[in-house]
Amino acid sequence: MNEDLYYYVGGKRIALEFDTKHVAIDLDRIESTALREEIEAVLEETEETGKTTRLRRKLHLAYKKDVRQGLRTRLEKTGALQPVFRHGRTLMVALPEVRIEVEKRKEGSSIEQMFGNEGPDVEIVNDQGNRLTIRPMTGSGLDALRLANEVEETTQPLMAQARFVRVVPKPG
Amino acid sequence: MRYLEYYSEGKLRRVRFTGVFETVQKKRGRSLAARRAIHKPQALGGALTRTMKRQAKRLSTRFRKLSEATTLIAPTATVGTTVVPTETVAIDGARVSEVRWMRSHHGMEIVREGRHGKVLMKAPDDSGDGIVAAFAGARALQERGNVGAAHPNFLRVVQRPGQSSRHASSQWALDNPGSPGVIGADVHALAAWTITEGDSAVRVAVLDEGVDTLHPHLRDSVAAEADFVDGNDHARPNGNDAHGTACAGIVVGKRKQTRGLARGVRLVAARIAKSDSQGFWIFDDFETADAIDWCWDDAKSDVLSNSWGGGHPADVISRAFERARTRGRAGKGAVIVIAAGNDQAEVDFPGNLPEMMTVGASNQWDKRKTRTSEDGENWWGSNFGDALDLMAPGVSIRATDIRGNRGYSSGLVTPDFNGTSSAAPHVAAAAALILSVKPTLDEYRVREILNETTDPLPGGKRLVGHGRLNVYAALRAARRE
Repeated sequence: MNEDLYYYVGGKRIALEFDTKHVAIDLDRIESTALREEIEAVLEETEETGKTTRLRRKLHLAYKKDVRQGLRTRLEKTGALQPVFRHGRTLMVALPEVRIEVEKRKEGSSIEQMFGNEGPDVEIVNDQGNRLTIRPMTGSGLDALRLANEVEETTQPLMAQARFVRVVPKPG
Repeated sequence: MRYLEYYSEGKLRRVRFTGVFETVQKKRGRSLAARRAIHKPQALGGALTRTMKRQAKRLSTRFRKLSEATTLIAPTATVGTTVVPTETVAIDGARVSEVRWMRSHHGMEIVREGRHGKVLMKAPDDSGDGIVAAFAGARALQERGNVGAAHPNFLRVVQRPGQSSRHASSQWALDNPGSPGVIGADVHALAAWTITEGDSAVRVAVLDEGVDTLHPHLRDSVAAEADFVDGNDHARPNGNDAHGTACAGIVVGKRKQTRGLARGVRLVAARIAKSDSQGFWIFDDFETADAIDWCWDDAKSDVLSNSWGGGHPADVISRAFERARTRGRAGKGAVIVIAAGNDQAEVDFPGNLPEMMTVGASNQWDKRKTRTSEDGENWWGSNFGDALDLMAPGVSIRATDIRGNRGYSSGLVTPDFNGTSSAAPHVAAAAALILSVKPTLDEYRVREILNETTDPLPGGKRLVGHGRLNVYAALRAARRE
């Protein structure tokens, strides 16, 4: 697991550190109605007190202590938890999406090959020629991080980065 | 104390000036250090107090850049208007023959030509006392009777009454009356506006937690808006998110209470963040990058003002900024302005990216804002570092507030918007004014001009960058391009 705790910026590795206090819960990834209702009740209660934050659409950031261990384990098994990292006072939640930019894309290039039969199981979300957005079929933010790193290390594109949502101290 | 005579409304007037006169002797070939060495204030009509010396030094930067003048006066009055004589002569309705006569008989040179036959001439550097020479030249020319008017060119420092609160009862960033703080510790907006208040063809994008685009002080300026957080068809904020509205007002505020520095330019509002209930902002890297691309590409923004940041760097954002900087404005590049941050620590992402305009905050005393600076706001300090370009006012800035009573204040205006968040829009507005004067400049040259024309602040490059923004000096430099 630990070897995945980095990502690339300008071709350089940036170490990532897991945040130990928060969990990011992606409601879209929960198929079980019972589990969904259970966690929604927790989120509703903690949202009222300002302890839970809706990051985007169905993605919520909650304090770990507000979600009991058993529920967390079940959420993890369904793949509903996305990784939360900390950098100083900033939290970063990795989403299951990778954006890749290449200088010049040719048919049969290494990036194309990677997404072929031999490559990882991904869905192409957006294809603008030299700019490509893909999603790992697992729907995991950690897999997106791994995938971006793999693309960076094998093909050295202009950019390969997993999508992060940041929670930063508000200025002013 | 000094008596000088000049003509006004056809009558010879004798006026008395008090204060500290300071003459800078400009001689070719002398080093800057030598010039500073002979830059000594002289007390006229009274003892030269330490306060007066300090005031003279503070004002010297302002007046030198304002007036082409090299003789300075520090006003000793604390109320009312102080009139400051310079070595320049304003001539109205001047014939070419009269200008030649001034050159041949008084050694004066043209420093500026205005509209409708106005000429500003300056006494020669080697005249000894430039002010006396200017007064003598003006009087002689008037007495020849061949010009509409000829009189010494004055600068005026207007002291506004009743401003003693720590809060921004005035927009001190634009014109600092020195209460509190130091007269002239501002961006010299009033002088700058004699050149331009901004061209409506120029667009400034404010990327923030949304802008109240229906705010009566802002709505007429809005050229385009987009929401990259909730996908609304407008960029208006949620709840009490007032930060972006304040930033926008600093650039384009239309009313007297919140005059924007570049109120003639247009506003592009891009909502890229929203607040949670615990004082944090939520950003999405991809959406932010898309917002940057939208600003320069779709909304044709010339300047991007960014009062946000934090966390690890993100290539997706860096690359979008780089596209804006290199491909915006049909290849001339959009100017990217970024707030340095308020942690009194090293500048963080994205302010630490190369080729951006990173802005720290100065206070009413013309000093870098720190947790211990005179302004008394001990909860924040301006970030520093090699990436820092320049400083701009960032303490108790009066700005537009979201409508209703959920913003910083209950009305349409907040008196004390703070932080490098408020400094950055000042620089973005200044860049927009430069592009209003010279739209052909590339973004690199705009940054150079802004950095080269700052007023010096105490502290080294890492702490205060090149100094405090001086918009007037920047516009004059741009005009010469």
